[in-house]
Amino acid sequence: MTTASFPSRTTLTTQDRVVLRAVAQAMFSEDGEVEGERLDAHLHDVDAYISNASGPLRAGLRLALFVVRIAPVLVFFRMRTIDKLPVAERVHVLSRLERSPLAYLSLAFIGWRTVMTFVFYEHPAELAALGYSSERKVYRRRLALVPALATQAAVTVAPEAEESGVRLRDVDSELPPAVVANDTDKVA
Amino acid sequence: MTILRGRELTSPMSTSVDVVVIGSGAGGAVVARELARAGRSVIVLEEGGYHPQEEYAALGPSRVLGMLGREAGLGLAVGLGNTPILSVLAGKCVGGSSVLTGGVCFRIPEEVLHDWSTRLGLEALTPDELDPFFSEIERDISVETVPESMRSRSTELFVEGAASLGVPMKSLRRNTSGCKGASRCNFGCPNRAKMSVDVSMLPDACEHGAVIISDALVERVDVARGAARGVSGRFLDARTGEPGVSFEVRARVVVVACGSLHTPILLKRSGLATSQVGRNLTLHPAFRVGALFDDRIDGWDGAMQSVYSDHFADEGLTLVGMYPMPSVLAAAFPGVGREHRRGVQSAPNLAFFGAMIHDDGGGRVMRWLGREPLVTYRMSARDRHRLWRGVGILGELAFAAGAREVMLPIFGADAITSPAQLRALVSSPPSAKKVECMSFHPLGSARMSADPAHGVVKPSGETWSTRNLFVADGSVLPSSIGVNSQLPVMAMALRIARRIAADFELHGRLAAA
Repeated sequence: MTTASFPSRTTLTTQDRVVLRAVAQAMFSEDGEVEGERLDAHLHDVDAYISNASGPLRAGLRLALFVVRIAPVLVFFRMRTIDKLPVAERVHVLSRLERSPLAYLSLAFIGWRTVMTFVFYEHPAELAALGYSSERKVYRRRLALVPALATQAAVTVAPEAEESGVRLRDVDSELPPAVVANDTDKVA
Repeated sequence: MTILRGRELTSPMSTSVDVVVIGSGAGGAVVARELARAGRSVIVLEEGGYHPQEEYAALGPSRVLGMLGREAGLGLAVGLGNTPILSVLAGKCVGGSSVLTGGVCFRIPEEVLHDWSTRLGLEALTPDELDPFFSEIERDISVETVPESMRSRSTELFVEGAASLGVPMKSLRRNTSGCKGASRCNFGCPNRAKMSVDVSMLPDACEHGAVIISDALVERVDVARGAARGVSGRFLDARTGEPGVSFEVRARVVVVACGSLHTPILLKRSGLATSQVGRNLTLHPAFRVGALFDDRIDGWDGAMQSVYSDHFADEGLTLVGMYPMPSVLAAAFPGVGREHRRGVQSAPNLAFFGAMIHDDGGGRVMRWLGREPLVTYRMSARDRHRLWRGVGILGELAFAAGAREVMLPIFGADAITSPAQLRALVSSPPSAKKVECMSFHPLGSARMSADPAHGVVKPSGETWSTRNLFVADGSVLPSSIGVNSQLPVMAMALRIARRIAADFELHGRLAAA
C-alpha cells in the first residue's frame, strides 16, 4: 500500500469508495479473477495517488465519479446507481458511457479508468503476467551480438554545432556512429 | 547536496541574499549554479519536495508522479471549441520537470530563431549568439546520441515502417550518461543515468554556496518603486501540504523560474502590470498511435525514446519514437472489463509511435481556485489539420511496419485493421475533443519581446515593468519551437544568468536606490 506525500490528505468518502470499488470490480474482476482484498488495497492506492493533487482537481475527480455513479440514469434512464447493478450490467453501462457522443460524459469515465489502470497495472503480479521485467533482455542480447561496439570505452558524443539542431535532413551520413555507453558490464 | 526541507521548519525565516531564484527546474537550476559560481549568494526556493534520486528510483510510476509531478501528473489544459483536452505533465520537486522528461535534447531550430530575429525583432537570438550557451549546457548535462543498440523493438518497427514509406529517421540526443534502457525516463531514472538538473546542476550550485529550500511556496514578489526587493511566502506543512510557517527573502535580484504554468500566476499575484502575462501559451500537442503485431515486441526493452524524424517539419510535425510503461499503456486500451483486460494482455505485442505538433499557440494561463492555474487552449484550424495529418502518417507507418491492428488516439474507438479504414477516418475525422492528447512542453506564457506591448520580458530576461525582476524558464520562449524544450530552456537561462552576472553591480545599485 502507498501513502500520499502529505499523509493526512485523503480524497474519497465512504460513498466514493463504494462506487469506485464497483467500477474496479467491473474493470478488473468481471469474472472474479481479482480478490476482494486486492480491490480494497487498490482503492487505498488510488486514494493515496490522487490525494497528491490540488483541492480543485480532486473536487473535479469526485464530480466525475458522481457522473459515473449515476451513469445508468444518464445512458439508459434507469433509476439506479452504478454500484447497485450486477457486475455484467455495470460493464455494459460503462461501455456505453465510454462511447457517449457527449465528450465530457465519456471523459468522466475515461479519466477514472486512466487513474485506476495506471495504479492497478503497476502491481508486480500484473507486470509479471505481462512478462514485464526491469531487467533488459533484448537489449542485453543485442549487445552480445556487437562485441566490437561493446568493448569500446564509455563515450559521450561531444556535440558539434552542426549536429545539434533538429534540421539534420541532409547530413545523415555525418551523424556520429552509434556508440555504447557505460554498458560493457552487461555484456560480461 | 544539502537541501533545507521547508516542511521541517517550524519558525518563520527572514534572510537577505544577492539573488533569490524561484523554482529549481531546468531554468532555475542553471541560473542558480551560474550566479553561485560568479560568487553571488543564492537561495533557491522550490515549492515541491526534495526526493533524492535513490528514493524515487525505487518507487513505482504512480508514486513518482504523485510525489514529483504537479497535480500528480493529472494536470489538464481545458480545450476550448473543437480542441482536445490535453494532459499537461510538469514537475513539482527539486529538479522540476527535468526529473520527469524523456531527456530528449534539441537545439532551437534555425528557422524558429530566424523567425524570432526577423518577425519578432529579437535580433540577438541568432544561432551564432546562442551556440556557446547550447554547447556549454550540452557538455554539462552530457548530451549524447542514443546508440542504435539501445533501440527497443518498438522503435525498430517505427524505423522499418518509416523506411518503407521513404521517411528517414534519425537518432535522438538525450542527456544521459550510462543509460541502461530502463524505459521509464519520465518517472525518474532508476539508474541515475539521466542527467536531470537534480543530478547535473544543483549539486554544483550547492558546492558553490547556493542554498536550496524545498516545500517553499513563494506567494508574491515584493516590489517597491518599480524594482523587485525580494519575495515572501510560506513553507508547506509536512502533513497537509497547506501553507504554514511564513518566510521572507530580501534580494538584489529576483529570478522567477516556476515554468510556463506558474510563472504567470506568480507575476500576476505580484501585481505585474501587463496584459501579456499568461497569454501566448504554446503546448506542442503530442499524440501516439498503438500498433499491434503478431510477434511479441516487449517494447519496454530499450530506451524510452531513441529516434525522431523531421521529415514533416515543414508541415508542423515532428515524429518521435516512444514507449510508455505498461501501466501507462494499459490506460490507452478502450473497453471495460474482459474486453479491456484482453487488450492489456496484448501489450507485449504492441508498439507505439508518436508525433508532436509545432503549434500556433492559443493557450492561456489564468488564476482561479486555489494555487494551481486554470489552463485553457484553443487549437487553431491549422493545428487541427496537423493533428489529423499526424494521426494519418503514424497509422500508415504502423501498417507499413506490418501491424495487424492500429489503435488510434480516439477515446472509445475500436482498433482499425486496414489503411483504407484509416484514410476514411482521417478524411472525415470526429471531433477533436475525442482525441487523446498530451503536452510535455508548455512554453511562452511570459514571453520575450522586443517591445513591452508584445511580451513580458526584455531580451535580457528582465521584465519590462519591474527592474531587477527576471524570468528564466520556458515561459520566456516567444513561440512554439517544434522540438523538446529542455535544452533550449537551459540555454536561454544560461544566457540570462550571464547577463545578470555581468550587470550585477548595476542591479545592486538600482536595488539600493
